[in-house]
Amino acid sequence: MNVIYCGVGGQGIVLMSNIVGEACARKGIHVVSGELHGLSQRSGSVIVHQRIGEGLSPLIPYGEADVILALEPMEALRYIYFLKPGGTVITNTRLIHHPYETENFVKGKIDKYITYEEIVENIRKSGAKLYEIDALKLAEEAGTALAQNVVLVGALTALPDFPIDKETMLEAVKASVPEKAVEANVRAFELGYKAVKELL
Amino acid sequence: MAKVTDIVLWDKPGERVLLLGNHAIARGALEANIAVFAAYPGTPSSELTDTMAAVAKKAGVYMEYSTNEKVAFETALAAAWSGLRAMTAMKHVGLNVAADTFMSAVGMGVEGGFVIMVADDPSMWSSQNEQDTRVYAKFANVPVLEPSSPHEAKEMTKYAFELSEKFKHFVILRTTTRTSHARGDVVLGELPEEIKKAERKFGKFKKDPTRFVDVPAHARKFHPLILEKIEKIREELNNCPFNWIEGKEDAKVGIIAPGLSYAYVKEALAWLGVEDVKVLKLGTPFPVPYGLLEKFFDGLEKVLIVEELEPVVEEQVKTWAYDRGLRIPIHGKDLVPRVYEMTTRRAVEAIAKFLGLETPINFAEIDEKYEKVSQIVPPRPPSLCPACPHRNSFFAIRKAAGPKAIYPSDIGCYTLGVLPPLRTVDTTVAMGASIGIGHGLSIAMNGSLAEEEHKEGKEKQIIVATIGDSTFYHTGLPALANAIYNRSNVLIVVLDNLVTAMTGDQPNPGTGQTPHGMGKRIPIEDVAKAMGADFVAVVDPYDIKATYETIKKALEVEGVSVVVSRQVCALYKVGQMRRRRMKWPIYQVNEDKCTGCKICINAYGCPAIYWDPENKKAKVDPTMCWGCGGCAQVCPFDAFEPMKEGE
Repeated sequence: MNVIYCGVGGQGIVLMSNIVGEACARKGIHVVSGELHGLSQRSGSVIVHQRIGEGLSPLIPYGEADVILALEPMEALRYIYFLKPGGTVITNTRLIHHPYETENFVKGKIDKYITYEEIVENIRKSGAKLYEIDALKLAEEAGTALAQNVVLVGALTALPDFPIDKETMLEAVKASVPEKAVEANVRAFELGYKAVKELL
Repeated sequence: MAKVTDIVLWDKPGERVLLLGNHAIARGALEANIAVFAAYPGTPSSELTDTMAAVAKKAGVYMEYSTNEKVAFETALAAAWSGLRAMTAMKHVGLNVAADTFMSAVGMGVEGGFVIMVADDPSMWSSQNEQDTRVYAKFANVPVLEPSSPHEAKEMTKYAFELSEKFKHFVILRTTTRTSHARGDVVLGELPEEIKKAERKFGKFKKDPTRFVDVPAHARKFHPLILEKIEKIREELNNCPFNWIEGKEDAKVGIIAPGLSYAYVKEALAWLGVEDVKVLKLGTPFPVPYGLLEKFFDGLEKVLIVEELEPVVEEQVKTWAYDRGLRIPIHGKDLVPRVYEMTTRRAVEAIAKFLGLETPINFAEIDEKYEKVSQIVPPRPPSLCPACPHRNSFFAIRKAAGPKAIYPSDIGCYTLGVLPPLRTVDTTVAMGASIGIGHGLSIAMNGSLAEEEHKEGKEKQIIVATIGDSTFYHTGLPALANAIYNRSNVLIVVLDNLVTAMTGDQPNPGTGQTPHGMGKRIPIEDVAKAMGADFVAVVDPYDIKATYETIKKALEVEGVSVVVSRQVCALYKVGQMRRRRMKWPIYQVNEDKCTGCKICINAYGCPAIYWDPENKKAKVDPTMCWGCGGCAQVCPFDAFEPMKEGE
């Protein structure tokens, strides 16, 4: 399975892929990820490629991603060309506007912020299966807004063709987050998992 | 979770672990019994350096964050001269800084294995240019190894030390962003006893002026020696375990794939369903071993070289083929782009053209389809973090010096000051160049204060150079000495956030910390004073008014002024606070006070601030605010107020 993880630098995108990577290592499943570090991170658009059980190179070939897991909806749409025809998009519902967009808006260079509805409409137009998750709400419910990424990892795990079982994924979550935050992250994972199961 | 820094020291030969390419290289260096590691961080090489720093004490390895790549190179080189295995690491442009020593010392060779890890950045994800280190390798006649996976990166590191020792020659281990930052399966090997017991290894330098003093009489024998060595190495690489021929033995077409391109080529061939082909997997793009070419070309009617960036392998193969009298078509850069990184798509397109096949999917059609849906997405370039002290410094500088001032800047997070609304970066070239360029602009427009005719006071062109703390020590020092000596008329603001932030919070002389304990702290203001700057002050950019006033004062001085704008990196600080479970205030807009003047957006531009079009007021995203309170200082109507606590 090929997964694209994306969002805004600082949201914990690399950690999402590392949790899945850790679970693969526990199950002895071959995995290779292509990450981005450094300047490319700072509040900018971040994309991580991950190839579970297949693939030699760290980049998902064009049009070969099974899933796009997006912590920010604009980023899901930005990388939609990686998705297979009929692939799955799981996206957080909350937009983060870049200062660029804000400045262009207040200066009248654009007449409005891009809306969530426009993004969703375009994702649908591409033919993708779409799961919408309010990760911030679920993360806060779990006890920490920082766990939005783990909510989405839970959501990914709930997909019917996801190759790793829930228990192994939970072990990987526990092993990947700071000790003090384990409980909240386990709750966040469960809430994300449940949210997709209900949408299936 | 087992930490990476623990895993690289695991005494579990045969264990399969998940590691980043850079971590795997660190493990390889440890398995090779490295004694000394010195580097200046640079994306995408930094995780290797940081991993070595984290394990140094536990492995008995000396590790230092050197002040720049040249110094790091010399530190490791001298260790290798002393019979120790030593390594240095840098990003591609770091080799430009180290090039003087690299090019001059190559003829002297080494005693202990010496490996130069250089990480290239095709597509420039975090870099200022796209240079190909393999060209340097050819220039200097130094062999270069290029891995195709994290595991191979580890194995190649060990081999690189052996090769270097065997031929007493430098060896380059070249990665790219996609190998350094690929995470994959790595099988651990044996660790040497000294590493397991954390035994520090000390070396011995044997004097030999005919070898280590490059006066012309000695140096004249270097060039023939280097050429002789590289041909012997070329011969040796016929049996290098990272070079092999695979595929159909009697195929009529062949593909040569160096480094990571091998992975893309394999995937492309599978995607295209092409089996009737021979592949030369090349782990040593320079020098290309001729014996292997001889075997590979046997029976072939045409060849394609799929390599990223410069035609380094292509030129060697074509020269060899010409000299051998081979006249079959050899394709390369006519079918494979010379710019930006390799992808499976690029490999598919090149191979399809080469073989006259259709691509398995119609890329152009997909491009068009997705361009339509995704063109509505606004761009999201990287930007300074919320609470970043650089934003406050730039805001104060621009307010004090105005839009007509010229703003040379440098390499670091603060390069992002080029973006609106700050727009306080007019030039960025290379590490330390802000001061040299600032000085040159001052000479061009104001003249030197040493000249009888020069401009000052209201006549002078205001020039404010900005440079980070780590960059200041890296290459800012000689430029500052030059500006002061030659009586420049510029203001230099050192944006001192007390870490080398962009590459991952490494320490530098500004804090004095080292992986082995406390070194010595070198305050920037003391350096500036000692060099004779005409005005020196230290400010806290979290106090915007005070920063503004100090800059105003500095601008009135004729000569070289140095203002150190000191406040710890916000990302670093928030990380520390989260670890300690500390809270910070979150600022919110008091809608009764906000007049909708937009100064916070049009002049300050914190990513946590956005516009509420319904109420025509500014708003703060509470999940993004890190509580610096800069917005409250910038707002003329005191509309930003600290509310609840953030985490």
